[in-house]
Amino acid sequence: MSAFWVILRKDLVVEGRARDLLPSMAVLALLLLAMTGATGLRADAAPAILWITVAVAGSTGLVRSFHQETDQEQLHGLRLAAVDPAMIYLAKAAANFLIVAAVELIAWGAVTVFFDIAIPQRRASLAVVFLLGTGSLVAMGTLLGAMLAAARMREALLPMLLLPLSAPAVMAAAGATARLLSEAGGPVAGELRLLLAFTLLFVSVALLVFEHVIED
Amino acid sequence: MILLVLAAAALPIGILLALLVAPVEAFQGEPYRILYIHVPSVVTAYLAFTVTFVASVAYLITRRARFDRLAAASAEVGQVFLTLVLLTGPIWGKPVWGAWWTWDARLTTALILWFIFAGYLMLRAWSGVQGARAAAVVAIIGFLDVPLIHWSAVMLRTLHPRPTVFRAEGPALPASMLVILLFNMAAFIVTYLVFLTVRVRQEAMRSEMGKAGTP
Amino acid sequence: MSNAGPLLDIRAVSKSYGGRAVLRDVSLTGDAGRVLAILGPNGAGKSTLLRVAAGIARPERGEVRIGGRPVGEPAAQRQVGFAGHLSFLYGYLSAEENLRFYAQLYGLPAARAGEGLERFGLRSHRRRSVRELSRGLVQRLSLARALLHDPAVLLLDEPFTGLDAEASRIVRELIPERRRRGCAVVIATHAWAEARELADDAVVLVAGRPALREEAASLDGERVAEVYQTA
Repeated sequence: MSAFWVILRKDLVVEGRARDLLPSMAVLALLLLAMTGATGLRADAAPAILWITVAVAGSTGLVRSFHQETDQEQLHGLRLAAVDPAMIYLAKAAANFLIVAAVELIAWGAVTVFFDIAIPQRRASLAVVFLLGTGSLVAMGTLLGAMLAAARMREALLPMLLLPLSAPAVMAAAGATARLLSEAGGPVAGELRLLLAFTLLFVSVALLVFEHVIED
Repeated sequence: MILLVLAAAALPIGILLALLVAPVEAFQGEPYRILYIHVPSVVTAYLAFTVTFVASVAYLITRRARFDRLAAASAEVGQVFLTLVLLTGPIWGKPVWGAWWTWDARLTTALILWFIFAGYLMLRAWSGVQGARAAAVVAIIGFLDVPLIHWSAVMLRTLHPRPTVFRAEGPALPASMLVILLFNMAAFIVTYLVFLTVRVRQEAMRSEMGKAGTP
Repeated sequence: MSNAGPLLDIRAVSKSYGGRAVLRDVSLTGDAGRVLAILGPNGAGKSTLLRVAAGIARPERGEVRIGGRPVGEPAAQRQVGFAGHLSFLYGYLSAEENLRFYAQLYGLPAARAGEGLERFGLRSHRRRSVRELSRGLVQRLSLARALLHDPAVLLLDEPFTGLDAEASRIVRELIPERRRRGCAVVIATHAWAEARELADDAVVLVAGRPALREEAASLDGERVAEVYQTA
């Protein structure tokens, strides 16, 4: 368990100093939102646009977050130190989660302003959608990002793979967000169940295959 | 070779049957005939991707190159059939539903699956043999993802005609249509197998030549 | 850990990259208190062999055992130290932070990081980010990292490349010191003179196979060059 905290802490320190991922992802997200607003998107499409923006902006960072583990083969250093690959995955996913969640908060703020959305009553449910939606994206994105970085493949592949593979999570999150923000309301239990199932399934798959993904 | 002859014969016969012999459907009229291509294409595409999934799992476990070649070839051929699905859907949809496209569960799932395999094929194209493991992981994730995609699309919308063949109680088509449909399905699957065999052999030969070149 | 057999036991290892065979049925041992030099022309598979021995590359066939246990097991893995061309260090962390990071992963007290810095003459650079350090300093830090946990098996891939005079001296002293402590040391090098000076045994790897095995003291430049030609 402690390897998890050691790596997580290291990731946050590195991001804090490099200031590489968060600013560029946040700016891209804000840019996408600004453009959709400027081109006339209506407020009722805002939830969908929000989640697509987070997925796209997030995917630009997820390969790079692994570059710090490949430019000097640091991943092999971790293996040499007998760190369980599952711990590496969980630690990276946790770090990515914090960073993407920060980007998403900024995006939420922008959406509220750009589309003049009222702060809803059902905040607890909205928070759960936020957490599970981000968790789903990061669970999948961390696995794919590691894969592409370890095999030295082009970064451009990540959005191409992440977007369709995380489509169910993006759709469920967008649908739930829309319903929670609307006047009519309605239950979102189905979407939450899907998001939870998605996260659990792909974290499990990741834990199983991660070792193969990063080995030489 | 036998397969090739069978496919070469069966496919045109199947199409002719679909066009001329099958009875006119009560509510939908002539355009419905495209379903004799659409439905078998769907079945074949999903079959192909299942083969890719199984071969990918086998490759990750055994690391035998032949499973990797099978997975790649099946994905390529499957993508062709899936493209056919996405093209024939709107051809049927426009006269019958009044719209080229709807975001109902089945079409949405097929579309997203198309992108997943486009990504898979791009990954392979950009990385060659080195990418075999990564591709296998993508194929496995993609396959496991399909029920989730379907689930989320269902939650959002459903407009697709209710299934008439793949239902728990058994097909609801009149016998004459069912026979032709099944015949076409068989024809398509045989065609897939032919293309698959050709592709796998091609890749096997290419890899043999590559090996012969190194000391 | 079982003491039967050699500390490092490489058994019938074969490895390919992208369809190209790099190691073909290689068997080698590294014994406690002895230094083995692995020689060979470029592309012979020396680096790959060391990486397989270190447990960071997985062979298609064969296995590697450290002290009788498969290298994949944590207890065995932790007995291996490796330093190669790339440093395994984080550019945005300082020299000290890097060593502390690895010390924590190995479950060692933080003081070990300071000791490592001291030994390799890095104390004055300890707060500097690794990305600012010269290649020579990075190599030294990489060696400090490799030795942090006092491994029984030390694998060095071209250890003298990119080192300044001071660091070369440190490495030249390091190898006999490790030998005295009963470690198995394996050095991959293309310079047979280095091998003759520092090693006890030598193996020449050509096209992924051991082509010549002899005592390092008997190494002869002409013989080695001949063997290289057989690639």
